[in-house]
Amino acid sequence: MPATTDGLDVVSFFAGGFRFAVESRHVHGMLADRDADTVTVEDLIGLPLERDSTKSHPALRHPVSRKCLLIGGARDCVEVGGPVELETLPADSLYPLPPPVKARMSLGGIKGLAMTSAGILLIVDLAAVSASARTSIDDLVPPRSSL
Amino acid sequence: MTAGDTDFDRVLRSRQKKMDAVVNVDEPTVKLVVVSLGDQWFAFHGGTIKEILADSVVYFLPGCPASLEGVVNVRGDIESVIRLRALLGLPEPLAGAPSRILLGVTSAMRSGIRVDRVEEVLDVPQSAIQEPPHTIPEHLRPLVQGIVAFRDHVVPLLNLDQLFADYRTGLR
Repeated sequence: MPATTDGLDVVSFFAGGFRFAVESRHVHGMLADRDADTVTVEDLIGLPLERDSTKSHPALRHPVSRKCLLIGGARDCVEVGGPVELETLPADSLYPLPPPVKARMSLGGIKGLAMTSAGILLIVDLAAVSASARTSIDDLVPPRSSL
Repeated sequence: MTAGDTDFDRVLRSRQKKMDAVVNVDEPTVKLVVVSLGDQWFAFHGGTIKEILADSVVYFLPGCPASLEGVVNVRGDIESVIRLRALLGLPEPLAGAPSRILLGVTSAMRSGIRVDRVEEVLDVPQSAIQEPPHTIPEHLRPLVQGIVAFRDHVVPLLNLDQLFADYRTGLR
């Protein structure tokens, strides 16, 4: 169930010490181990990697465990920081990015934010960012016929 | 004069005419919000400052420039908070120093603006706003609409439209 008028189903996770969420309809599974093609969410959106995010986010009470989410139609494997949780964000907690933030934020794929009792979550369109990154890489690799 | 008028009504009407005459010759005034950043004072047109926010939690957002402090919840709306010191090229104050957030609104953008203090909200005659002098620092010139003398300070009047426009385009 992707979205209702009452809320948005998301998979939340941590990256770089901050809490993010991706729409659950874009998440097709989760792996405990990364594979050779796994990219980190920090690399995808342009956020410095912070392995021990307990230092920067009070909501975390234990060291971060890394998981791999299978994202989008291509099932791209994206490594994120735990805890990874499935939750529904109430509609009245969701906001678009204020225009100054939208204009100046350097992170890729951020669609908006949610303000919950636990703090702020950034809503990220990982499927689009991942697809875009894959296209960029494909552009760099010459077709087999030209090799 | 109308039938049934009493002396009281006539006196009131006469007084009102005199008051109207006084208003008509009054010089137009401009509302200003005067703020300070350390020992430097600046002013905004009152029409561009919607409110002075009560103390609020500002939520830091990753991936934003240092001038963008974060976002704040204003009665259910999310507003950004930008640091006026950073926009004007002034050093940040000591951690924990008291400060206030103004909510600035222009036709193009709205945002919280972090200042050290709100000194005064006042009406000044339009003629009190003078052309900015040539001694205004180069980087402030595009932003300063004029200057006004207030409490022994020469206060630059900042153009919030320009400030916000520069901010959105990354010039500040």
